[in-house]
Amino acid sequence: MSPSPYFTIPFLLIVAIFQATAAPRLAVGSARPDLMLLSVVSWSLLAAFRARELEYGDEAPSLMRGINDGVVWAFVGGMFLDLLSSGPLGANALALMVTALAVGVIGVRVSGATLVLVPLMAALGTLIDHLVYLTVLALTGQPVFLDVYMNRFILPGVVFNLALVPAVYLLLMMVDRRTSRERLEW
Amino acid sequence: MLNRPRSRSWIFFVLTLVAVLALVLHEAGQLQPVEDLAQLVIAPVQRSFDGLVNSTGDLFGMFREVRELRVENRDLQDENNRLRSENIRLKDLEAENITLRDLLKFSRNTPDYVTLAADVIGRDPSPYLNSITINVGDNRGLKPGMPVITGGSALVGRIKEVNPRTSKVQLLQDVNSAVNALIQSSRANGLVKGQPDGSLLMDYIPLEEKVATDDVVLTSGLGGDLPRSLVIGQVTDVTKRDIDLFQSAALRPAADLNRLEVVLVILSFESPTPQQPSK
Repeated sequence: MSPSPYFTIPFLLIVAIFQATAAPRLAVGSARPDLMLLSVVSWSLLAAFRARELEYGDEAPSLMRGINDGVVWAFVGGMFLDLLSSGPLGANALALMVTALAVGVIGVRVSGATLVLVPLMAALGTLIDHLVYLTVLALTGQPVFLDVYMNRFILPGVVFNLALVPAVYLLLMMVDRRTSRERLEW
Repeated sequence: MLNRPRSRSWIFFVLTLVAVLALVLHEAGQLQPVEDLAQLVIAPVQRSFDGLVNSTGDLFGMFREVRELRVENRDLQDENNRLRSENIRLKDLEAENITLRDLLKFSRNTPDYVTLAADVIGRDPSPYLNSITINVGDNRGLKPGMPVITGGSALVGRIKEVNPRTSKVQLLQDVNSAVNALIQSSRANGLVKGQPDGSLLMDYIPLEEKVATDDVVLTSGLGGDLPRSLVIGQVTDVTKRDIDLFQSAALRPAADLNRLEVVLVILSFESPTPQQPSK
């Protein structure tokens, strides 16, 4: 179960505004921090892990619900980004939703140490997000120079996101634990 | 035990007698040598004790001074922090003032243009799209295609999307941006396009035209969608091959497109009228 929309919506809005204001100024070379992508990847993994625990506990199968949690975050966060962007509306939402789906499916199926899985999913998520976004741009008639973008934005972005993902994951894990406790108390 | 106070009761009387005697002798001046001798012994002790008392007094004073200095230091640090932040704010205002003065100068020098100043409030979250968001929109009469400049008549880009209170400006460096341009010295025409790596390239310059490094590139006004003579940048490198139909030049933008804070939107301008052939 996702935390309250009173948390989710303002949180994702703040992250989107950060991406449109502070992130370009924090760029190292041409790589920027992508907190929205990292939030979506982290939340998708947390939701997937939770869903897997519930299934192993012989409760109602909830794998799909676990995946959906991340996808909902991706949609809301992506739409906020699209509203702040001059690109086609829905492009960021679509790219993040595909990323969340892939991370969620892998998260519920693959068991492994969180220490390995989280950075791995951050790197994979960055690649998927950029490639889907560029595909959408190409489909809407924008010129796409994959070789230039790969060296200039995508690969440096992977490195940047690998460095930042532990902090974002830990923050959202605290939020997840807090909301889980509230649910139990309820 | 009871006898002891009684047996020593004479002590009081004797000492009183000694004291009275000393008083009398002192008054008569007969005790001076004894007093001098006593002073000789007592003085060093007194001096040492006085020094000790003074240093103790200084110690207490030092503690008080340390406390006062700490308070003073904290106050000075607060003051320093306040002045430093004020200094930063003033430097910021000075930079903004210079930009605004530049923009004002442009407005005064081009009375035919109707312009509107705007603050940059954001950049595109996608690294693939080079655009900025400004804080004026449909409410102030902005329309897509309007040119946007910054200090020194430097072209920044064009309005791409207008919302009620904000607008998105497509920067020159965007891969979808293309501007008709000319080289100031040779008047050679070309097309300035944004490159995927964020640089600017002036393409389609006829081979026979002379292009040199540091040549200034301006808007040509061709097509009528941009005013003439807005500064685009300077040539940094020229690529010319005999097998090509055109030569191209890499440009350094006149405006720092990554650090824009205040811009001027040109709401209307007199587009260049085609010259009538002379009869």
